[in-house]
Amino acid sequence: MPAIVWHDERMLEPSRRIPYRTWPGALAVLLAVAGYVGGLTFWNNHTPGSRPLAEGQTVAVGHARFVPASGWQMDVSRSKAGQSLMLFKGGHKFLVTTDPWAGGPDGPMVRQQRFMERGQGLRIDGDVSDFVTPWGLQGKTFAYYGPKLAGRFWQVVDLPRRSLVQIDFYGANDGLSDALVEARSMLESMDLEAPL
Amino acid sequence: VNLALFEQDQAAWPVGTDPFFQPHRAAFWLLVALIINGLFYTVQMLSMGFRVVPVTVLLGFLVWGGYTLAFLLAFRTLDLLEQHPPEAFVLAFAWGGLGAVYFAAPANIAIQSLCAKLVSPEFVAVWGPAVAGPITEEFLKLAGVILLILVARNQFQTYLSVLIVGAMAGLGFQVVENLTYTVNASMHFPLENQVYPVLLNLLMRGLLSGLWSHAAFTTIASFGLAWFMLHPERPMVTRLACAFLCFALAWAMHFTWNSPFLEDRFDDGFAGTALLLVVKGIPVMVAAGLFWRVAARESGAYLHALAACFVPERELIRDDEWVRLGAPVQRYKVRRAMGKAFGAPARRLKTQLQREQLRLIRIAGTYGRGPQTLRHEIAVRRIRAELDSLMKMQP
Repeated sequence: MPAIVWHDERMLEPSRRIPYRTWPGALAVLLAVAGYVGGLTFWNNHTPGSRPLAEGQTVAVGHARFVPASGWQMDVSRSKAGQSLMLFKGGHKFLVTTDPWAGGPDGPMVRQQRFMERGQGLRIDGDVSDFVTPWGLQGKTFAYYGPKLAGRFWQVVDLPRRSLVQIDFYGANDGLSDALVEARSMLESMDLEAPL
Repeated sequence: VNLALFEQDQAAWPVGTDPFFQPHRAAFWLLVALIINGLFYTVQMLSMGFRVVPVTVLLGFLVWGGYTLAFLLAFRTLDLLEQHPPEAFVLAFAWGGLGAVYFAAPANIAIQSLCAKLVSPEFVAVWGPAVAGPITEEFLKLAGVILLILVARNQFQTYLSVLIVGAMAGLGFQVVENLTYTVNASMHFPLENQVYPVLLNLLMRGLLSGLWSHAAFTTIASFGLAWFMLHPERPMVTRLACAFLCFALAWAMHFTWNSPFLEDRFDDGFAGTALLLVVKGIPVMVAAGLFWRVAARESGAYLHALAACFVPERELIRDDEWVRLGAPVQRYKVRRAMGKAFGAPARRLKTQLQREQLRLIRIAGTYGRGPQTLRHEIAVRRIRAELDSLMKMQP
């Protein structure tokens, strides 16, 4: 291997503490970072993310499938293929999430309640209750509320498939009861037979 | 002639290198301001995590803190921390972990969201992390390295001095990102258990991915920056091309790492996943290793030239020690061999001797020989005498 010769002939000159300006370079870095992050955020905020859903057409996420109520649209930027599906109508959201179930039927529910209460500053309204849909889907549900929104959470554990489905409906108090009726209708249309 | 320059210094500006505390430089305040901004964001984020999963957060701090120490120990073992004063590494780590993470979060979300809107959610599920992560994170980590160079540019005289700062910025990013992932995973963990998410993340993100993650990527990108800075004699186009190519290489490796490439060749079980991570990580490790090697050789040539000029006394640096000045791994092997032959105290003394020699050369190279190097000269002689007597006492 050939010996390396130090490339800088000035090395044996003393290193001097010569004053220099850094503001042009610092400003360039700041503008580059702000331009990059701000530009992307601006572009994203000004790009519509809604996708209209055909009337009566079934949508699926993981094993879960259901028929969206009229007027609800898909929020593509907050949906993850195969994992979660976010629908919205006005200020109300309907989020379906599927995960593998890892055991403990109440575990995810307890974690969700703690996340809402301690993390998001929401309050659980009443007790957790059981529910059954006309399709035979059964699980647990609870209502919650906060300073600016209220909602209801449903959870279904499909033991044979070791699958967990969580449905979170929430939104502004204005028009909440009408939106909840539509959310319930979407839940009642749900089954866990979607092909993967 | 050069020695005379040090001894009869008539120039307008004092001899020496700038410290990293530079209250009169805009770059310093920008760096500090962005780090503090990131600190507020990170504390806020983790405090929410603490309210929901306190055990995870505390254990996460412990585990990822220990993980950071392991890296620092490795860097120290290879004498890489001798390149700069500690505040340089603190600033680099803080930039990576606080400043860069703060900006990376919204940029990554925006890119993935745009991909979902303009292409499809299915595309994001597969390619989102590969599209968003590399360009954002490599750019932001490198921005901090540039700011640090602006703060005290004459501290960066070798490739190695830039690479170690880049690696430290990458390590900071890696550790805070891992802590954040751990806390988020725990908040949405399907079981009522706060310890499993920490152990799972330590295994997958720390042990199986840690060596070929952000520290390695930023090392590669920083090499281009070092080359750009240390070759002013080359045409600007060449320097820019080198910086760009290294950045592109770091980006490409990060992209491949985040992409689903090769995933279909391995099963979803633990063994398959572990094998996939190793197979994808080895090229990154090899590339980063090559850059470290080139930088170490260049640093060795620099140290040889300095030592030949400023520390010619063979009792201070013997021939075999002189040869190994630019070979940190060989120096480590010598220490280990010394420990095996003469015990742990001999190994400790040899380590101290090697570090004192490096410090002596660096300070002599910066300020010339004189009162400022006397302490290190005495230390080298004292440690060598102790070491020699210890070796003579052994059978």
